[in-house]
Amino acid sequence: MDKIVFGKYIPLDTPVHALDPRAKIIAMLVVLVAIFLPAGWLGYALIALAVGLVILLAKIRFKVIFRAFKPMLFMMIFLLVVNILSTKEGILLVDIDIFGAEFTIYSEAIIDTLYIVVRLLLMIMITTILTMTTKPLDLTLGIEYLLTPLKVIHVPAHEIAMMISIALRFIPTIIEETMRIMNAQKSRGVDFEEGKLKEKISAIVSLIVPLFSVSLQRADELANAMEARGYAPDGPRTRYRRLQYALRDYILLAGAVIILAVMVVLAFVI
Amino acid sequence: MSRVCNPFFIIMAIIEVRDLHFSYREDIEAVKGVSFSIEKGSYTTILGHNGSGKSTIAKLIAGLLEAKSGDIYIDGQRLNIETIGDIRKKLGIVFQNPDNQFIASSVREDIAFGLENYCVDPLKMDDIINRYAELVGMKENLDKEPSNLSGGQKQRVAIAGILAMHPSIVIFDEATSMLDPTGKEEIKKIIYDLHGDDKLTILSITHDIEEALKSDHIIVMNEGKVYKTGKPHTIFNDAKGLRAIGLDIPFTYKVKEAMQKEGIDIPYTDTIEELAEVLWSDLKA
Repeated sequence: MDKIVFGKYIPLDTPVHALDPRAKIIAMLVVLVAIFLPAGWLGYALIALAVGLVILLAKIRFKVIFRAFKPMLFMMIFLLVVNILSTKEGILLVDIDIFGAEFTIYSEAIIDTLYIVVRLLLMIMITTILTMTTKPLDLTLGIEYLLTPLKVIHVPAHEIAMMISIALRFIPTIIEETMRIMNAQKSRGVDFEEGKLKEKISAIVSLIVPLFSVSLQRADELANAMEARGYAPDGPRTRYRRLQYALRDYILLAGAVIILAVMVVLAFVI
Repeated sequence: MSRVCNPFFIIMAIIEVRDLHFSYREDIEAVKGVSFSIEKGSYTTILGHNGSGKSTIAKLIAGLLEAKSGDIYIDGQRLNIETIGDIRKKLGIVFQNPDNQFIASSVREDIAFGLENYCVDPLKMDDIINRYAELVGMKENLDKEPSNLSGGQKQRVAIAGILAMHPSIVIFDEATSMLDPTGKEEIKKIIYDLHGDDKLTILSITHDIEEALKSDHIIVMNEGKVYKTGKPHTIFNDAKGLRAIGLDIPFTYKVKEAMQKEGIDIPYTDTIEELAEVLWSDLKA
């Protein structure tokens, strides 16, 4: 379970860690939009350079970042295969007949697929940097601050942030609980690794049902504890942690906007 | 001027429960006409086996469950939807599972949670957090995450979070039952100190008869009713009655009982040290 990298905060004292979570979230969103602009290889090279610089500043080893790709690998391979086989533009490169089914690969399919790979990798890297350099609580606080203006149109900003914060807080507890239930079921002869599909489904059900039951009980007890400590979702509250923008946050935001502007220009030029 | 006895004078009760009824399901009543009162500044324990209704009583007093009928008065205020906000400021509750009451991602922020809910000025929060973290011995762990704390430490954080809200009553709902022996002792010591030094009213829901022995007053529950109330000595003298409802008596009382069977009478003692002293002086004699 320690190998789960995606979403895991790495406590370090770096300028990236010190950035305001709101600035990081906004910059991430701006760069994500930029990634989807058809700015060609030059544009992606620019983004990759900026991302690499942030990784260096955050003192995170590239190896750790690459480990975040692992859980996405299956989904990425599936997307790439579908894309390679479905794009029928450009020069025909491969035409194979396997058991009567014709498979063709065109030059445009290769280029498109490479673009998708780069986009996906950059997206995963950017979101991983955000979660690795921002405490979960800061992240939810940032989301709450950013959603606050939407309260005017009745978006429950505080409730959304509280839900995310509690979900993040309980991830280790639920993982621990899952391991405990798995061990209990294994000791009763349930095999989670081997067996036919039907047996595997039954093994997973034997894990999920008690996990749900325990989680609901936890939710009930947590709600009681929160209520007993005076929590009312719609009531007035003060905030212990307050966010304040510093110069480095403006630099980050300016950098993100510059990247977006360059990508827009490149998209028109190319 | 001659003094006249006032027949209506009663000792100030901070918690008063009158003919309380509650059921989780229509057909099964969990609390059946419970009445008792708890004096201000006292240390009261509610003893009872599983399913006797003791934890339900704690949740009813904290306003987390709504009674079917009956009244609860906290510091003279009748508990209802209008007064619940005020009453919760006077009353804190520590639950059984330390994991399920740790709301924030660090000790510091968890203690601040209640303060935020009561709109305490953020500039004053650090002082309050430090003061109560120190009181429960958690000042060195303020930035730790819940996954890096033991059960006893998490329970101490829960106590600090409650004390930070300045309640006059603290309810411990089986707060030591999920802890290891060290954790249990740590929490019990805090409970004794809160009662002894800080003069808070303590209501402890427990299975621990040794803890109950140290309290001022015991309420024994059985099948949703009050079986007996009184001082620890009165309660534990009724060993037969307690055993009949699935409870036991403290170790020192068991020793006295065993000695009595052998025809030796020794006085009642509350601690092992006192018992050892009595036995030693008997041996010498």
